[in-house]
Amino acid sequence: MTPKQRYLFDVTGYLHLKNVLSPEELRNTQAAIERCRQTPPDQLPPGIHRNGEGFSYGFSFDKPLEALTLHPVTWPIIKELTGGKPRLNRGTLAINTHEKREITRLHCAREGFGWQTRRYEVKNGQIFANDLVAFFYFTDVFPGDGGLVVIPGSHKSEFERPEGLFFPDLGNPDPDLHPAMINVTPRAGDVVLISELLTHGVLGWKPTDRDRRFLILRYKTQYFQDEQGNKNPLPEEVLARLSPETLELTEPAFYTDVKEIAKQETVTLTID
Amino acid sequence: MTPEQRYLFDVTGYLHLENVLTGDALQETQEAIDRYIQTPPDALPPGFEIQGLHQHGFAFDKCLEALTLHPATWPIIKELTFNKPRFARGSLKREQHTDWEVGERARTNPGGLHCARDDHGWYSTLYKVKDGRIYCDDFVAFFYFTDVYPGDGGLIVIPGSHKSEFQRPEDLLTLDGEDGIDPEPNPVFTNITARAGDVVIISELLTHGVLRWRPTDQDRRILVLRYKPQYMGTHAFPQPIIDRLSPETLELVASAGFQHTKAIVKQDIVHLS
Repeated sequence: MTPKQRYLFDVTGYLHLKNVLSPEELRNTQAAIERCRQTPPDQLPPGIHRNGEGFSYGFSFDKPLEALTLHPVTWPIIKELTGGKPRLNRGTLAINTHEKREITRLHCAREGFGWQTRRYEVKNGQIFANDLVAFFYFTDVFPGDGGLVVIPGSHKSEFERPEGLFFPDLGNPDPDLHPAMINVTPRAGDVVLISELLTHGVLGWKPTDRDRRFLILRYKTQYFQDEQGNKNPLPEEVLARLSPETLELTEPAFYTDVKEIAKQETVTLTID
Repeated sequence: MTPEQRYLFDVTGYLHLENVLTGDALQETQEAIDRYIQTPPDALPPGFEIQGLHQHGFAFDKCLEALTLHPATWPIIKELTFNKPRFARGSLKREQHTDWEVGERARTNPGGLHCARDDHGWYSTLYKVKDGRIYCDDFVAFFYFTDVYPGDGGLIVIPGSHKSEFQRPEDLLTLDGEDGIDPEPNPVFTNITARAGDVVIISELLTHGVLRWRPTDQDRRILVLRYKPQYMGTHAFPQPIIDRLSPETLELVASAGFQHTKAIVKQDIVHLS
């Protein structure tokens, strides 16, 4: 991470990385997403299911999408934030349309699971975070469109968020934004990386002629355990089509283990 | 402090309190501020002077002095100092569009970002949460007497920076090359657009700065009231200013030991004698 990235992620709880995808990467991933969208549900690759506005494990639909889990721009950041012990936990493809006008209410891991479940710390000039999300954007978001909202600084909040402080009426699809809140407006090819401790939500998507397409890649430390214990959370049928590098990324591992991919600055997927 | 105030101050490092002064109370303070500004320097009462700021503006009139203990800010000041408050300084700041000369350019640090951590070292100033309360040993209350609208300029802050663990990169903001003074818009900073009668309270650990004041028909007038714990340092008010203060303000200004509890702190609302 650069000093600027460290400062921004530490102060705000998120990073907006611009122009992460090259024109070719963007073209290939956009094409893959369109193919996924047009595939009849019963013909989707095993393990991928259409779920509301998302495709579970959509990252595994095609290699250009799978490669984003280890993208050269985000990889050093993922490694640093997890202390060199990363694990990919999930990767959902989401497509928001204007048909869903309601707000996704504000939430974060602290509120969802308890403050004791997630960590954000700084030590020896490095940030440690054990639960992260990288949103890769494939379509543009402009001010006024809707989409992701965050409360900068909330990843370090010492207090419970008062109910109704930001969205007093969840039924209102077009609320005024509180000054403490930011609507992040990435363009196609950008990435937004957040700590899951950052309070965030989603405004309803307003444009009727465009949708919002993004990949939600979730990372934890390789030794992070929830109720599933020390087990790869991805289904076997999804694991079966991943490249060895991605497979290693999804694997749980011990505190002291160092994955082979974590020793590499840039990871290239082996494709049969 | 209310739960909403605690949450917002903790997450962002500042509080924007709206409509603290209204009606006659606002008008009275606006008139007092205007009298200080309109008084020729050689006709100012003893102790007052203009050195960049209109020094000791809080003491120019009783209605301004009363703001140091205003009922809307007093509970917050008490909580942030763990009931050991000391009023350290209170000057009037006036910004005009003529503060920058035509063609003048900012050479470094667009927006003039600064904070106690930058200026005095991370060890100089404390922000801490314990037992459901916030403790803060250096903070400022800005009382606004004129309106600020989006695009006017004025105070900018970097929300969350009061807890920053890293040095602010020098290239965090980019100078707007065309403008030559202000930074280019960046979502990392917020321009606080307070209206007359509002109060903005910030931790001095919050990185803040000022955008150039753009309106030509109105200036920006704020009273800058600074607070610390009673056991950190002592005041530097000249005797003529001290001589004007009410007993309650004098007690607020006084330094005291760690264990001492000031009589004014036992009161929810303090009236100046």
